[in-house]
Amino acid sequence: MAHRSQRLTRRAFLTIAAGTAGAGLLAACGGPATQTPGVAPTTAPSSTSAAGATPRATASSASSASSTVMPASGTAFNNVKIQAWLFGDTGGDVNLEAQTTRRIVEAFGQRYQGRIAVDITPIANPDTDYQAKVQSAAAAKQLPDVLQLDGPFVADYAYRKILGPIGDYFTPDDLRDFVPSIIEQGTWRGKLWSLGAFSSSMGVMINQTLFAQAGIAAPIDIPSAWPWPRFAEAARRLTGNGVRGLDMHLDYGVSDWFTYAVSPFIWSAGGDLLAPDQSTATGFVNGPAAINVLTEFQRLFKDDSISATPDPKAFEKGQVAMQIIGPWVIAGFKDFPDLNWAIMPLPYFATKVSPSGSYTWGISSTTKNSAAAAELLRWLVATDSGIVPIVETNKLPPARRSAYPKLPFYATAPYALYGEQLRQTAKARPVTPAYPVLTAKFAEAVNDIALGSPVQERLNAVARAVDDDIARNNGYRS
Amino acid sequence: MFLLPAGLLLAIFLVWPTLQVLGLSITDYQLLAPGATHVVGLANYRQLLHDAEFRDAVRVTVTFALGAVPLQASLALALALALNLRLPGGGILRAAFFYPTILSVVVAGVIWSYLYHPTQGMFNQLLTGLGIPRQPFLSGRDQALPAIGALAAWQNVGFYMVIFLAGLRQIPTQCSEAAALDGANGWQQLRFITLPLLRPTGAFVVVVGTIYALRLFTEVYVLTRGGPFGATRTLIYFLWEEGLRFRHTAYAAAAAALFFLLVLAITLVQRRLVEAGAGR
Repeated sequence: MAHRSQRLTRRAFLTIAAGTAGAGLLAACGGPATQTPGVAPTTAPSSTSAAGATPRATASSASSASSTVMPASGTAFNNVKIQAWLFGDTGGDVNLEAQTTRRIVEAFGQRYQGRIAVDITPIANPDTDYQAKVQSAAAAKQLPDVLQLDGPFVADYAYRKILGPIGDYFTPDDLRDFVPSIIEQGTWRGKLWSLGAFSSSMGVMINQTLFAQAGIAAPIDIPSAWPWPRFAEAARRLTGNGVRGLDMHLDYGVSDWFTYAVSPFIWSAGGDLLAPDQSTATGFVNGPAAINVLTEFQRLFKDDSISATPDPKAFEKGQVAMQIIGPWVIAGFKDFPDLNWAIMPLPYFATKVSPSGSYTWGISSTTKNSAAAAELLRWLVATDSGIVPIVETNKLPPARRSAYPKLPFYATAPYALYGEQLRQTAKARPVTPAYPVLTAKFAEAVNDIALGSPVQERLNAVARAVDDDIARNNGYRS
Repeated sequence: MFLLPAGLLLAIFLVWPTLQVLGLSITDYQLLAPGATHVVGLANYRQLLHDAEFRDAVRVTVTFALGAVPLQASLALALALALNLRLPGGGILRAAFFYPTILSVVVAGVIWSYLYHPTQGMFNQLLTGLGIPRQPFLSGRDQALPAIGALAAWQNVGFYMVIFLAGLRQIPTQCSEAAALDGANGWQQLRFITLPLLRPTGAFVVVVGTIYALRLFTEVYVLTRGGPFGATRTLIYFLWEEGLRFRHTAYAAAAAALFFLLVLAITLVQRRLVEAGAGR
């Protein structure tokens, strides 16, 4: 979820970006030869008998916390060393999340002491530095065994043989426990490449004081969600006297956040970013639904119901009546005791759709310790060892159904709505190796459109860039 | 024989990569893509010439250089001349002007991003304090590139100032003294003695400044990511995005080859101009 990473404070960590980029180019020059995956993860997980342990753990997950992911035989691993790359502690909201992630991996190391040792490398800035680092490592065949990645990049990593398939490491029962959009996010060309402990969702936070002053009643559940015209009208009515109706957090900067935040509305209007067969973006990212949605947003920017240069804390300060955002901002509300807020479901055009997806885990295609890597992966996405501690920290909706009973706050407002949307209306961003180009170009276009660019023309440029990328890669067929 | 160590290093780290870039630029190689690489001849170059984004990047880069180089060189010269008067406190001022140069570009960029912040930035608070409406700066189509130019000038002027100062100190004092005896006033001394003798230093500053301006990247990466409306997408940013972010390696290699030709051409023309001027 790169959108949470795009903070001003983050930019201080870009210091190594140029250096990493340079290294990447050198690496690129070094190997125009065809990539061959080093060692395919063909080791049958059954040989470790660990796979057999997992379903038992899930089946009895309610009974005992200690039953989580224990290998049936402790002797299966004899001091195996594996490497794991995690998104680093880069300050801001994601700070605590990175620390907790590290603790979860360290707990694994303690549980498996003498059997599996994990060498942890945190890498700053999940957005671009991490990508560059993973690419250089892949080119130099020095990938870690287990790596964290941002969900929509799974297909890209799979296509470039950075990741290996992981479906065999989980039982069908296990996989059914995950919410569908997490499986959708991790699946490309019929194989599962990644799983995450949590997903994400987005709702409309409303300032109840401002709503009461305007005499507007907000919907509270998905069945009563507002259709777009009703929502846009409310945004306009709530604008005035130094208050804006809506905030879209353009302060996050041009990043995956824009793709994440806008695409649900395009899906809702019956459109998509790519053709269903992923062969082209033309007629989709610049199709009627996308044009309609972005024109609607642009209208709100034009009449100043949304600010193009928002104060990052405008909602908390009572300067906007609604903000479209996920639960990651809630922790910061404790500094604003006067804020009287509530949550309402996303408005919709034709059907009700919400976004999903977040940081996720995969196993590298070159790992020589696939059994141990799979053991760690199962630990990371198991309810007790992986999901509960991270969700208690970052408050993002859990990726497994069995985790909800163990995180009671997800049954209460405001979190319940995010969880319900995730289970009922969520959709994953397009799972395609063209995603890096798609999101970069689309996010740039959303930003320009918010600042006044002609919608059709701007989206045409996105379609051209994506189609160029697809053509350059022969339709991503190989 | 004595050239061997240096020659070897140059060959490994300069000549060989350059040849590789040229070699890559005529293929369809993509970083980490499976499948074989094919030689495609000049297809990448042909596509570049029709790529609106590439043409815009060339335009942005050249515009920036045309604005930044005269601005930075003239400011640096003015500061150097002022400091060369050896007024009290000159040493402190010299250090102060030089200080931004030793800052990392990223750090400077982050600091300036706060200054440019649309609502809470110092620049806009100053403007609103003066009764002038807030400016978009980095999110303005026409303001983003000049805003980056201001940051670049703030960072680089100190460096060129020091070079000019060194040049000024090398001018023999006899020349000025002789001119003064002949009745030349301060302006005439500057115009007919100092500036002509400073010409080689000026040429150096302009050539180096041009090369630096043409490879503008970090400021853009930190502050605007090439936006808004592509107004700050420089050639190197284009290269980085195509080559490393989108993994269109061969395409970026072709762009790099064209960039190399551009820099080479500009440098040759500048040298020719400087030599012609010196021969007068």
